[in-house]
Amino acid sequence: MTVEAASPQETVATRVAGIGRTLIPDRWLGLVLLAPSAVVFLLLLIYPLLYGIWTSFHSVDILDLASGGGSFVGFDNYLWLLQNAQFWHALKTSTLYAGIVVTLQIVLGTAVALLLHQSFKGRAFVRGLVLFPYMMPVVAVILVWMLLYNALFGAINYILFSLGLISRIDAIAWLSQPDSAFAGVVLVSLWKYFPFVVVIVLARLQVIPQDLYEAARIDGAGAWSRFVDITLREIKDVLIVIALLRTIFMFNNFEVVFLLTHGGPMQATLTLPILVYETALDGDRAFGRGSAIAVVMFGLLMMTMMVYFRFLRREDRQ
Amino acid sequence: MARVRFDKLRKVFGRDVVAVAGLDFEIADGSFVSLVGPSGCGKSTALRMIAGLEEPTSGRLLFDDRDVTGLEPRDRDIAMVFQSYALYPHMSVRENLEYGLRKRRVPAAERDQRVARIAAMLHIEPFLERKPRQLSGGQRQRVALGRALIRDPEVFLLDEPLSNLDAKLRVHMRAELATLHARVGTTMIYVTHDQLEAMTLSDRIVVMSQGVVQQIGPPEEVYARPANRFVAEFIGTPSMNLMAGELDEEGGKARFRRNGVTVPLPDSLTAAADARQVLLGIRPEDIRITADSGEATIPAQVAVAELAGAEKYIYLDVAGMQIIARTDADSPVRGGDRVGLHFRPDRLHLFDGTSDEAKAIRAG
Repeated sequence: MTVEAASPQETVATRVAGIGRTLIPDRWLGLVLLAPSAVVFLLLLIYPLLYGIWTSFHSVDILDLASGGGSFVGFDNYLWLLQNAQFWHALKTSTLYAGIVVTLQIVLGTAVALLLHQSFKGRAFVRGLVLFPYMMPVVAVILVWMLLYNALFGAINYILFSLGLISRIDAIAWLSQPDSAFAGVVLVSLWKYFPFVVVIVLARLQVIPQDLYEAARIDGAGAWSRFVDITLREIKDVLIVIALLRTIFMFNNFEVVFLLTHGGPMQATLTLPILVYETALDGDRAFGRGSAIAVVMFGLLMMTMMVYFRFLRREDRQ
Repeated sequence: MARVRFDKLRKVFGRDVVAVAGLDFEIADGSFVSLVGPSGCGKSTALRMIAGLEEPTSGRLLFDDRDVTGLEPRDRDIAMVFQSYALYPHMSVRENLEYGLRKRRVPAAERDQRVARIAAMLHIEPFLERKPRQLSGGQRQRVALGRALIRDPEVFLLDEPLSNLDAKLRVHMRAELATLHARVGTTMIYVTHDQLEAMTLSDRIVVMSQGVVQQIGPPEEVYARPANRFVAEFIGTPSMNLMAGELDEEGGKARFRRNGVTVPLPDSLTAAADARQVLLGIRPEDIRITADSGEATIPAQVAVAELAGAEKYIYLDVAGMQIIARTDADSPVRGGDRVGLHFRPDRLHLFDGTSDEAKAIRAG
């Protein structure tokens, strides 16, 4: 019976392969099929990357952009960078921002995934609902949060006021003070992106064999032991992958920070992507210097990527 | 070690899915008992209730005289071997073995000692530092057994532990299990759908179907005197031949009749017999095939003769029904032959009616 069921499929497959073989040799067919994505990849990724590196060794102003020119300055842009306090500040802010946000995302995402892994009424609905922040367009999310943060009519101040925690006079201008602005950006980034963690951790939780928990119960493990010895050890690998990926995403994040605070107040939320924007596209339009910052970011993220790939290779070997 | 007593133990899933309709029997201390039946018969649920992984809907479970019905698995002093082995994938074999001891705060020195003893007993010393995924199926199986044995539990539960092994290894591990039980002497409760495993390993077999116990007894008894049609068909390969027909009487002697074929019934069966629809059962090895179709034999035609190594299975057509006889491998019978059958009178089974629950009619 299996043979009968398989044979029609086989014929179709053979026939399709047969057509390919008569028109184009196998070796070429592969290249032809790869070509469109290869072209897109080259145009949209490799070319800008190489152009960015090229620009970082040149002095390029807005007129040079049009002509494609620029004067070679060697490592000048990088030397400028190393002596620029703003760059070091932004590097620190970026690292802090990415580190805090990713940690919180993993803790919250894992906790929510564990909750959603339990069976309760309306679970499917709540699982869908959790994805909501991740699927909303960034600009819409930011507009809503700016309303919430608003000093005069924002909901957050209103709640604090209703609870008697602040007086009307002390209304907090959340995004206008360095510390609260940084916290505010962290909170929005956490809210917007934690569902990513939930989805992946939940998927991993669902394939942990139930037997393991039962065996552990019989072996005498309590709920906490079962979580540490089974759940955590089972999801450890995906948590590492998530941490690396989210670090790359958050380190690179431009839109949330830019739309909420433009890197302010008093550079409290000035991350590297914002600094690239300010240097290259705002103010003095120093494309060479901006590119130099971008190239440094690229180098840092490449190192993270290498850790990621090394980890994936190790996983494959196992 | 402990005696396990089921006191009207019942499990209903949801509103009306009866998994176990009420178990009411006792497993003797130190014995090896198999729960056997087709999938969905409730045997696994019964085992999981003993483990404490499933809460009974009603009834009680007692180890010796201790009521363990509401106890957590860890408080029952049981160990279980899972069908999937359920070895902790991130832990080495050694860590797997001693996990239960760690959770019970057994001191390190004693843990090492026990691991060494169990590893030697099960021949797994060379793999102690390996992870489960680096082991073969048979080695994993040993580790799973070791993890259960190391705790020296009162009751040892095994849920289809051999079904993930290939045929050859399964036979080998079956023998090892028997040896192991003889050596440790712990009460072992074994769930399987394989009646052969149940027959070869057990002191007693509990045959279950649809949540109900069909028969409890030593393997020999369950095989030789099945209580009803279900047990008769389930135990033994090839299955017992069952022929539907009716009882009637001639000259004060009861006989079985179907499509003109008659089988005289021994006196021991006639006493309990009335005229009614019955099933006549005969095991393949209790049929003798003769070349001549004389008076005392049942005429049949051979469909196929199948050689299975040491023996032959002869597929026969008797009055429009197919039955199977088991003969020596050198039997000259061939497809198409017309033969006479002789049923061993003392090995005939008679069932009251034709349903699955049809009770065996016993002498007296």
